[in-house]
Amino acid sequence: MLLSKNRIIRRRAVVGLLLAASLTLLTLSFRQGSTGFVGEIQRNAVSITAPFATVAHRVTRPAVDAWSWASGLTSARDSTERLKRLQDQYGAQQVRYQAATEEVARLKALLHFRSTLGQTKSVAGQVLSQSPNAYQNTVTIDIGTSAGVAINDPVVAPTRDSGALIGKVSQVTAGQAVVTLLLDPQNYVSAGVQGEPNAVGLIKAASGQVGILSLELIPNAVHVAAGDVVTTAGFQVKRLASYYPPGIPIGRVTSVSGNDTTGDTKVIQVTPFADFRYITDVLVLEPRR
Amino acid sequence: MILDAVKIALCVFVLAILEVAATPQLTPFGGGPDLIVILVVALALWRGVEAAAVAGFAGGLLLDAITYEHLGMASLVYVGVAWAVATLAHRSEAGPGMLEPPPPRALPWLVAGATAAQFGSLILHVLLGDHPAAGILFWHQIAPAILQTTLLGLVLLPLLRRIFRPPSAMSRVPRIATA
Repeated sequence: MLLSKNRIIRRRAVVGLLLAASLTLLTLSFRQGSTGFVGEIQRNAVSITAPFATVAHRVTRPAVDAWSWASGLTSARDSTERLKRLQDQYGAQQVRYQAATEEVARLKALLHFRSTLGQTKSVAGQVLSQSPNAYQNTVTIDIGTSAGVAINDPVVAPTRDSGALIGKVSQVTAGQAVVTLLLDPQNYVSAGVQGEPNAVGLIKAASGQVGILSLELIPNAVHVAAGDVVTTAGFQVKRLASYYPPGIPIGRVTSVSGNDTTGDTKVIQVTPFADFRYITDVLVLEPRR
Repeated sequence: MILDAVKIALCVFVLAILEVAATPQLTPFGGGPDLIVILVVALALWRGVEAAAVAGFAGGLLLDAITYEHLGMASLVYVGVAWAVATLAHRSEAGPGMLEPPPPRALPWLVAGATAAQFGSLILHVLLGDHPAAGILFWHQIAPAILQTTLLGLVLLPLLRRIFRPPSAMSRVPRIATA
Protein backbone atom coordinates (compact mmCIF):
# COMPACT_ATOMS: atom_id res chain seq x y z
CA MET A 1 0.00 0.00 0.00
CA LEU A 2 2.84 2.36 0.95
CA LEU A 3 4.73 1.41 -2.20
CA SER A 4 1.67 2.10 -4.31
CA LYS A 5 1.21 5.50 -2.64
CA ASN A 6 4.86 6.35 -3.24
CA ARG A 7 4.52 5.39 -6.88
CA ILE A 8 1.49 7.63 -7.28
CA ILE A 9 3.35 10.53 -5.69
CA ARG A 10 6.37 9.92 -7.94
CA ARG A 11 4.19 9.79 -11.05
CA ARG A 12 2.46 13.01 -10.15
CA ALA A 13 5.80 14.67 -9.37
CA VAL A 14 7.28 13.66 -12.75
CA VAL A 15 4.25 14.82 -14.73
CA GLY A 16 4.00 18.02 -12.68
CA LEU A 17 7.68 18.82 -13.18
CA LEU A 18 7.48 18.22 -16.92
CA LEU A 19 4.35 20.36 -17.25
CA ALA A 20 6.04 23.13 -15.25
CA ALA A 21 9.15 22.86 -17.44
CA SER A 22 7.00 23.09 -20.59
CA LEU A 23 5.19 26.16 -19.30
CA THR A 24 8.48 27.81 -18.30
CA LEU A 25 9.95 27.18 -21.75
CA LEU A 26 6.78 28.48 -23.39
CA THR A 27 6.92 31.67 -21.33
CA LEU A 28 10.63 32.15 -22.07
CA SER A 29 9.98 31.50 -25.74
CA PHE A 30 7.32 34.22 -25.85
CA ARG A 31 9.41 36.70 -23.88
CA GLN A 32 12.67 36.23 -25.73
CA GLY A 33 11.50 35.34 -29.24
CA SER A 34 14.29 34.00 -31.40
CA THR A 35 17.04 36.13 -29.88
CA GLY A 36 17.90 34.80 -26.46
CA PHE A 37 18.59 31.47 -24.84
CA VAL A 38 15.55 29.83 -26.42
CA GLY A 39 16.57 30.95 -29.91
CA GLU A 40 20.04 29.58 -29.26
CA ILE A 41 18.54 26.19 -28.35
CA GLN A 42 16.50 26.19 -31.55
CA ARG A 43 19.44 27.17 -33.76
CA ASN A 44 21.58 24.44 -32.19
CA ALA A 45 18.80 21.88 -32.56
CA VAL A 46 18.43 22.71 -36.25
CA SER A 47 22.21 22.49 -36.76
CA ILE A 48 22.41 19.12 -35.00
CA THR A 49 19.41 17.56 -36.69
CA ALA A 50 20.05 18.97 -40.18
CA PRO A 51 22.38 16.13 -41.34
CA PHE A 52 19.85 13.53 -40.18
CA ALA A 53 17.00 15.45 -41.79
CA THR A 54 19.00 15.55 -45.03
CA VAL A 55 19.49 11.79 -44.91
CA ALA A 56 15.80 11.19 -44.13
CA HIS A 57 14.84 13.56 -46.93
CA ARG A 58 17.09 11.80 -49.45
CA VAL A 59 16.06 8.31 -48.36
CA THR A 60 12.37 9.14 -48.68
CA ARG A 61 12.79 11.09 -51.91
CA PRO A 62 12.03 8.08 -54.20
CA ALA A 63 8.87 7.40 -52.18
CA VAL A 64 7.86 11.05 -52.47
CA ASP A 65 8.49 11.02 -56.21
CA ALA A 66 6.48 7.82 -56.55
CA TRP A 67 3.73 9.37 -54.47
CA SER A 68 3.58 12.57 -56.53
CA TRP A 69 3.59 10.42 -59.66
CA ALA A 70 0.72 8.35 -58.28
CA SER A 71 -1.27 11.42 -57.23
CA GLY A 72 -0.73 12.77 -60.75
CA LEU A 73 -2.49 9.64 -61.96
CA THR A 74 -5.73 10.54 -60.20
CA SER A 75 -5.90 13.93 -61.89
CA ALA A 76 -5.37 12.26 -65.27
CA ARG A 77 -8.33 9.93 -64.79
CA ASP A 78 -10.57 11.70 -67.31
CA SER A 79 -7.99 11.56 -70.06
CA THR A 80 -7.76 7.99 -71.40
CA GLU A 81 -4.76 8.65 -73.55
CA ARG A 82 -2.82 10.27 -70.78
CA LEU A 83 -3.74 7.47 -68.42
CA LYS A 84 -2.57 4.90 -70.93
CA ARG A 85 0.71 6.72 -71.32
CA LEU A 86 1.09 6.94 -67.56
CA GLN A 87 0.31 3.24 -67.17
CA ASP A 88 2.99 2.45 -69.75
CA GLN A 89 5.43 4.36 -67.65
CA TYR A 90 4.66 2.20 -64.66
CA GLY A 91 7.65 0.60 -62.98
CA ALA A 92 10.41 1.58 -60.66
CA GLN A 93 12.83 2.50 -63.43
CA GLN A 94 10.30 4.75 -65.06
CA VAL A 95 9.50 6.42 -61.76
CA ARG A 96 13.17 7.14 -61.22
CA TYR A 97 13.56 8.37 -64.78
CA GLN A 98 10.54 10.61 -64.49
CA ALA A 99 11.73 11.95 -61.14
CA ALA A 100 15.09 12.80 -62.69
CA THR A 101 13.40 14.46 -65.67
CA GLU A 102 11.20 16.49 -63.37
CA GLU A 103 14.21 17.55 -61.35
CA VAL A 104 16.06 18.63 -64.48
CA ALA A 105 12.98 20.58 -65.61
CA ARG A 106 12.74 22.25 -62.20
CA LEU A 107 16.40 23.16 -62.18
CA LYS A 108 16.22 24.39 -65.80
CA ALA A 109 13.27 26.58 -64.85
CA LEU A 110 15.24 27.86 -61.89
CA LEU A 111 18.28 28.57 -64.08
CA HIS A 112 16.09 30.35 -66.60
CA PHE A 113 14.59 32.40 -63.80
CA ARG A 114 18.06 33.18 -62.48
CA SER A 115 19.07 34.55 -65.88
CA THR A 116 16.14 36.98 -65.75
CA LEU A 117 17.23 38.45 -62.42
CA GLY A 118 19.84 40.82 -63.85
CA GLN A 119 21.95 42.37 -61.11
CA THR A 120 20.25 40.52 -58.25
CA LYS A 121 22.48 37.80 -56.80
CA SER A 122 21.02 34.47 -55.86
CA VAL A 123 22.01 31.20 -54.24
CA ALA A 124 20.37 27.80 -54.79
CA GLY A 125 19.35 25.37 -52.04
CA GLN A 126 17.21 22.38 -51.26
CA VAL A 127 14.37 21.91 -48.81
CA LEU A 128 15.38 19.87 -45.76
CA SER A 129 12.16 19.77 -43.83
CA GLN A 130 8.68 21.15 -43.88
CA SER A 131 6.44 22.24 -41.03
CA PRO A 132 4.29 19.23 -40.16
CA ASN A 133 1.13 21.16 -39.29
CA ALA A 134 -1.19 23.86 -40.57
CA TYR A 135 -0.34 26.39 -37.86
CA GLN A 136 3.06 27.05 -39.31
CA ASN A 137 3.81 27.64 -42.96
CA THR A 138 7.55 27.21 -43.04
CA VAL A 139 10.20 25.12 -44.75
CA THR A 140 13.81 24.64 -43.69
CA ILE A 141 16.44 24.84 -46.43
CA ASP A 142 20.02 23.57 -46.50
CA ILE A 143 21.78 26.92 -46.99
CA GLY A 144 22.47 29.61 -44.40
CA THR A 145 24.70 32.55 -43.58
CA SER A 146 27.78 30.71 -44.86
CA ALA A 147 26.18 30.78 -48.33
CA GLY A 148 25.26 34.45 -47.97
CA VAL A 149 21.65 33.97 -46.87
CA ALA A 150 20.25 36.64 -44.52
CA ILE A 151 16.97 37.25 -42.74
CA ASN A 152 14.22 38.70 -44.99
CA ASP A 153 15.85 37.50 -48.22
CA PRO A 154 13.12 36.62 -50.76
CA VAL A 155 12.89 32.94 -51.73
CA VAL A 156 11.80 31.64 -55.12
CA ALA A 157 10.83 28.13 -56.22
CA PRO A 158 10.78 26.72 -59.76
CA THR A 159 7.48 26.50 -61.60
CA ARG A 160 6.66 24.87 -64.94
CA ASP A 161 8.13 27.72 -67.01
CA SER A 162 10.18 29.87 -64.71
CA GLY A 163 10.17 30.66 -60.98
CA ALA A 164 7.75 32.14 -58.48
CA LEU A 165 8.01 33.80 -55.09
CA ILE A 166 7.27 31.44 -52.21
CA GLY A 167 8.23 33.52 -49.16
CA LYS A 168 11.11 35.04 -47.26
CA VAL A 169 13.84 33.90 -44.88
CA SER A 170 12.71 34.29 -41.27
CA GLN A 171 15.46 32.46 -39.35
CA VAL A 172 19.00 31.67 -40.37
CA THR A 173 21.95 29.71 -39.02
CA ALA A 174 25.32 29.02 -40.61
CA GLY A 175 24.11 26.04 -42.61
CA GLN A 176 20.30 26.28 -42.68
CA ALA A 177 17.53 28.81 -43.00
CA VAL A 178 13.83 28.78 -42.23
CA VAL A 179 11.57 30.21 -44.94
CA THR A 180 8.17 31.60 -43.97
CA LEU A 181 5.87 30.89 -46.91
CA LEU A 182 3.42 33.31 -48.51
CA LEU A 183 0.63 31.14 -47.06
CA ASP A 184 1.52 32.40 -43.57
CA PRO A 185 -1.09 34.97 -42.48
CA GLN A 186 1.67 37.20 -41.07
CA ASN A 187 3.46 37.45 -44.43
CA TYR A 188 2.53 40.52 -46.52
CA VAL A 189 4.18 41.38 -49.83
CA SER A 190 3.71 44.50 -51.92
CA ALA A 191 2.47 43.25 -55.28
CA GLY A 192 0.95 44.51 -58.47
CA VAL A 193 -0.84 43.31 -61.56
CA GLN A 194 1.42 43.01 -64.61
CA GLY A 195 0.65 45.64 -67.27
CA GLU A 196 -1.49 47.72 -64.90
CA PRO A 197 0.79 50.26 -63.16
CA ASN A 198 -1.94 51.52 -60.84
CA ALA A 199 -2.89 48.08 -59.60
CA VAL A 200 -0.47 47.92 -56.68
CA GLY A 201 -1.49 46.54 -53.31
CA LEU A 202 -0.59 43.96 -50.70
CA ILE A 203 -0.77 40.22 -51.22
CA LYS A 204 -1.30 37.81 -48.34
CA ALA A 205 -2.86 34.44 -47.55
CA ALA A 206 -6.59 34.50 -48.22
CA SER A 207 -8.48 33.99 -45.00
CA GLY A 208 -10.77 30.99 -45.14
CA GLN A 209 -9.14 29.30 -48.13
CA VAL A 210 -6.15 27.03 -48.11
CA GLY A 211 -3.46 27.63 -50.71
CA ILE A 212 -5.08 30.78 -52.13
CA LEU A 213 -3.71 34.33 -51.87
CA SER A 214 -5.60 37.58 -51.71
CA LEU A 215 -4.49 40.83 -53.36
CA GLU A 216 -5.80 43.74 -51.34
CA LEU A 217 -5.94 47.54 -51.43
CA ILE A 218 -6.53 47.70 -55.22
CA PRO A 219 -8.90 50.63 -55.89
CA ASN A 220 -12.22 49.87 -57.59
CA ALA A 221 -11.37 52.17 -60.46
CA VAL A 222 -8.41 50.02 -61.55
CA HIS A 223 -9.18 47.35 -64.12
CA VAL A 224 -8.12 43.83 -63.08
CA ALA A 225 -9.41 40.68 -64.76
CA ALA A 226 -9.19 36.95 -64.13
CA GLY A 227 -6.06 35.58 -65.79
CA ASP A 228 -3.90 38.64 -65.05
CA VAL A 229 -0.45 37.87 -63.68
CA VAL A 230 0.51 39.19 -60.24
CA THR A 231 4.16 40.03 -59.53
CA THR A 232 6.08 41.71 -56.73
CA ALA A 233 5.85 45.51 -56.83
CA GLY A 234 9.21 46.27 -55.16
CA PHE A 235 8.98 49.86 -53.99
CA GLN A 236 11.70 52.30 -52.89
CA VAL A 237 10.88 55.43 -50.89
CA LYS A 238 14.10 57.32 -50.09
CA ARG A 239 16.19 54.84 -48.01
CA LEU A 240 13.24 52.54 -47.35
CA ALA A 241 13.07 49.76 -49.93
CA SER A 242 11.03 46.59 -50.27
CA TYR A 243 12.79 43.31 -49.48
CA TYR A 244 11.43 41.97 -52.76
CA PRO A 245 12.83 43.08 -56.11
CA PRO A 246 10.10 44.07 -58.59
CA GLY A 247 8.75 41.68 -61.20
CA ILE A 248 9.01 38.31 -59.43
CA PRO A 249 5.96 36.26 -60.48
CA ILE A 250 3.61 35.33 -57.63
CA GLY A 251 0.42 33.95 -59.18
CA ARG A 252 -2.53 34.43 -61.49
CA VAL A 253 -5.77 36.27 -60.71
CA THR A 254 -8.58 33.73 -60.51
CA SER A 255 -11.46 35.92 -59.44
CA VAL A 256 -12.22 39.59 -58.97
CA SER A 257 -15.30 40.34 -56.96
CA GLY A 258 -17.03 43.67 -56.30
CA ASN A 259 -16.23 45.75 -53.30
CA ASP A 260 -14.77 44.81 -49.98
CA THR A 261 -16.40 45.98 -46.75
CA THR A 262 -14.97 49.51 -47.04
CA GLY A 263 -16.48 49.87 -50.50
CA ASP A 264 -13.34 51.42 -52.00
CA THR A 265 -11.24 48.46 -53.04
CA LYS A 266 -11.62 45.20 -54.93
CA VAL A 267 -11.44 41.68 -53.51
CA ILE A 268 -9.00 39.78 -55.74
CA GLN A 269 -8.16 36.11 -55.39
CA VAL A 270 -4.81 34.90 -56.66
CA THR A 271 -3.75 31.31 -57.23
CA PRO A 272 0.00 31.06 -56.61
CA PHE A 273 2.23 29.70 -59.38
CA ALA A 274 4.26 27.67 -56.88
CA ASP A 275 2.89 24.39 -55.55
CA PHE A 276 3.59 24.80 -51.84
CA ARG A 277 3.04 21.10 -51.15
CA TYR A 278 6.00 19.91 -53.21
CA ILE A 279 8.78 22.44 -52.81
CA THR A 280 12.14 20.73 -53.20
CA ASP A 281 14.52 23.27 -54.77
CA VAL A 282 14.67 26.97 -54.01
CA LEU A 283 16.60 30.08 -54.97
CA VAL A 284 17.35 32.65 -52.27
CA LEU A 285 17.70 36.14 -53.70
CA GLU A 286 20.14 38.62 -52.23
CA PRO A 287 18.72 41.90 -53.51
CA ARG A 288 20.72 44.19 -51.23
CA ARG A 289 24.17 42.69 -51.51
CA MET B 1 16.00 0.74 -17.13
CA ILE B 2 19.01 2.30 -18.89
CA LEU B 3 18.35 0.21 -21.98
CA ASP B 4 14.77 1.46 -21.99
CA ALA B 5 15.96 5.07 -21.70
CA VAL B 6 18.33 4.60 -24.65
CA LYS B 7 15.57 2.99 -26.71
CA ILE B 8 13.16 5.81 -25.88
CA ALA B 9 15.75 8.49 -26.72
CA LEU B 10 16.52 6.85 -30.07
CA CYS B 11 12.83 6.46 -30.93
CA VAL B 12 12.12 10.09 -30.03
CA PHE B 13 14.99 11.34 -32.21
CA VAL B 14 14.20 9.15 -35.22
CA LEU B 15 10.44 9.81 -35.11
CA ALA B 16 10.90 13.58 -34.71
CA ILE B 17 13.27 13.70 -37.69
CA LEU B 18 10.88 11.62 -39.80
CA GLU B 19 7.96 13.79 -38.73
CA VAL B 20 9.54 16.99 -40.07
CA ALA B 21 11.69 15.67 -42.92
CA ALA B 22 9.71 12.85 -44.49
CA THR B 23 6.01 12.75 -43.69
CA PRO B 24 4.99 16.32 -44.71
CA GLN B 25 5.95 15.53 -48.31
CA LEU B 26 3.85 12.37 -48.36
CA THR B 27 0.67 14.00 -47.10
CA PRO B 28 -0.78 16.24 -49.81
CA PHE B 29 -4.01 16.90 -47.91
CA GLY B 30 -2.27 18.66 -45.02
CA GLY B 31 -2.03 17.63 -41.39
CA GLY B 32 0.73 15.07 -41.43
CA PRO B 33 0.79 12.08 -39.09
CA ASP B 34 1.87 12.73 -35.52
CA LEU B 35 4.59 10.14 -34.97
CA ILE B 36 5.54 11.31 -31.48
CA VAL B 37 2.01 10.78 -30.19
CA ILE B 38 2.19 7.14 -31.36
CA LEU B 39 5.30 6.64 -29.21
CA VAL B 40 3.76 8.51 -26.28
CA VAL B 41 0.59 6.39 -26.34
CA ALA B 42 2.58 3.16 -26.71
CA LEU B 43 4.77 4.05 -23.73
CA ALA B 44 1.78 5.19 -21.66
CA LEU B 45 0.19 1.78 -22.18
CA TRP B 46 3.25 -0.45 -21.87
CA ARG B 47 5.75 1.48 -19.75
CA GLY B 48 3.69 3.80 -17.58
CA VAL B 49 3.15 7.51 -17.29
CA GLU B 50 6.73 8.51 -16.35
CA ALA B 51 8.34 7.06 -19.46
CA ALA B 52 5.54 8.37 -21.69
CA ALA B 53 5.66 11.86 -20.19
CA VAL B 54 9.46 12.09 -20.49
CA ALA B 55 9.32 10.86 -24.11
CA GLY B 56 6.52 13.32 -24.87
CA PHE B 57 8.40 16.19 -23.28
CA ALA B 58 11.63 15.39 -25.17
CA GLY B 59 9.85 14.72 -28.46
CA GLY B 60 7.80 17.91 -28.22
CA LEU B 61 10.87 19.95 -27.35
CA LEU B 62 12.78 18.55 -30.32
CA LEU B 63 9.87 19.15 -32.71
CA ASP B 64 9.40 22.72 -31.49
CA ALA B 65 13.12 23.40 -31.75
CA ILE B 66 13.47 22.01 -35.28
CA THR B 67 10.39 23.79 -36.62
CA TYR B 68 11.00 27.09 -34.77
CA GLU B 69 7.64 26.77 -33.02
CA HIS B 70 7.33 28.29 -29.53
CA LEU B 71 9.44 26.02 -27.32
CA GLY B 72 7.37 24.03 -24.82
CA MET B 73 4.13 24.07 -26.80
CA ALA B 74 4.22 20.51 -28.17
CA SER B 75 5.84 19.27 -24.94
CA LEU B 76 2.89 20.55 -22.94
CA VAL B 77 0.46 18.76 -25.25
CA TYR B 78 2.36 15.46 -25.27
CA VAL B 79 2.89 15.39 -21.49
CA GLY B 80 -0.86 15.98 -21.11
CA VAL B 81 -1.63 13.16 -23.54
CA ALA B 82 0.80 10.82 -21.74
CA TRP B 83 -0.82 11.56 -18.40
CA ALA B 84 -4.39 11.23 -19.71
CA VAL B 85 -3.80 7.96 -21.61
CA ALA B 86 -1.80 6.33 -18.80
CA THR B 87 -4.31 7.35 -16.14
CA LEU B 88 -7.47 6.45 -18.04
CA ALA B 89 -6.14 3.23 -19.61
CA HIS B 90 -4.90 1.81 -16.30
CA ARG B 91 -7.91 2.61 -14.14
CA SER B 92 -8.41 -0.97 -13.01
CA GLU B 93 -5.72 -2.21 -10.64
CA ALA B 94 -5.24 -5.70 -9.32
CA GLY B 95 -6.24 -6.33 -5.75
CA PRO B 96 -4.10 -8.38 -3.36
CA GLY B 97 -3.44 -11.83 -4.83
CA MET B 98 -5.12 -11.01 -8.15
CA LEU B 99 -3.60 -11.26 -11.61
CA GLU B 100 -2.72 -7.83 -13.02
CA PRO B 101 -5.06 -6.99 -15.94
CA PRO B 102 -3.46 -7.25 -19.42
CA PRO B 103 -2.37 -4.01 -21.12
CA PRO B 104 -5.31 -2.36 -22.94
CA ARG B 105 -5.65 -2.49 -26.74
CA ALA B 106 -3.41 0.15 -28.23
CA LEU B 107 -5.27 1.34 -31.33
CA PRO B 108 -8.37 2.87 -29.66
CA TRP B 109 -6.06 4.66 -27.23
CA LEU B 110 -3.97 5.90 -30.13
CA VAL B 111 -7.07 7.40 -31.79
CA ALA B 112 -8.00 9.02 -28.46
CA GLY B 113 -4.42 10.24 -27.92
CA ALA B 114 -4.09 11.66 -31.44
CA THR B 115 -7.45 13.42 -31.10
CA ALA B 116 -6.47 14.83 -27.72
CA ALA B 117 -3.13 16.03 -29.11
CA GLN B 118 -4.77 17.77 -32.06
CA PHE B 119 -7.42 19.50 -29.96
CA GLY B 120 -4.88 20.28 -27.22
CA SER B 121 -2.66 21.94 -29.78
CA LEU B 122 -5.63 23.88 -31.19
CA ILE B 123 -6.63 25.11 -27.72
CA LEU B 124 -3.07 26.21 -26.97
CA HIS B 125 -2.81 28.10 -30.27
CA VAL B 126 -6.13 29.85 -29.64
CA LEU B 127 -5.10 30.72 -26.06
CA LEU B 128 -1.83 32.14 -27.36
CA GLY B 129 -3.55 34.45 -29.82
CA ASP B 130 -3.84 32.52 -33.10
CA HIS B 131 -7.21 32.77 -34.80
CA PRO B 132 -7.39 29.85 -37.19
CA ALA B 133 -10.55 29.32 -39.26
CA ALA B 134 -12.26 26.41 -37.51
CA GLY B 135 -13.66 24.65 -40.59
CA ILE B 136 -10.45 24.76 -42.56
CA LEU B 137 -8.40 23.70 -39.58
CA PHE B 138 -10.67 20.73 -38.96
CA TRP B 139 -10.60 19.43 -42.55
CA HIS B 140 -7.00 20.32 -43.38
CA GLN B 141 -5.23 19.68 -40.11
CA ILE B 142 -7.15 17.93 -37.34
CA ALA B 143 -9.12 15.26 -39.25
CA PRO B 144 -6.32 14.24 -41.68
CA ALA B 145 -3.76 14.22 -38.87
CA ILE B 146 -5.88 11.89 -36.72
CA LEU B 147 -6.60 9.62 -39.68
CA GLN B 148 -2.99 9.46 -40.85
CA THR B 149 -1.69 8.96 -37.32
CA THR B 150 -4.10 6.06 -36.88
CA LEU B 151 -3.12 4.50 -40.21
CA LEU B 152 0.56 4.85 -39.44
CA GLY B 153 -0.13 3.52 -35.96
CA LEU B 154 -1.23 0.24 -37.54
CA VAL B 155 2.35 -0.14 -38.77
CA LEU B 156 4.26 1.55 -35.97
CA LEU B 157 2.48 0.11 -32.93
CA PRO B 158 3.49 -3.53 -33.61
CA LEU B 159 7.05 -2.31 -34.18
CA LEU B 160 7.04 -0.34 -30.93
CA ARG B 161 5.46 -3.35 -29.21
CA ARG B 162 8.51 -5.39 -30.19
CA ILE B 163 10.83 -2.70 -28.87
CA PHE B 164 8.93 -1.99 -25.64
CA ARG B 165 7.48 -5.46 -25.04
CA PRO B 166 4.57 -5.23 -22.57
CA PRO B 167 4.80 -7.40 -19.44
CA SER B 168 3.93 -11.06 -20.14
CA ALA B 169 1.06 -12.88 -18.40
CA MET B 170 3.49 -14.77 -16.16
CA SER B 171 5.23 -11.63 -14.99
CA ARG B 172 1.82 -10.25 -14.09
CA VAL B 173 1.29 -13.02 -11.56
CA PRO B 174 1.97 -11.53 -8.12
CA ARG B 175 5.03 -13.02 -6.52
CA ILE B 176 4.44 -15.13 -3.42
CA ALA B 177 6.84 -14.26 -0.68
CA THR B 178 8.58 -17.31 0.64
CA ALA B 179 10.11 -17.36 4.03
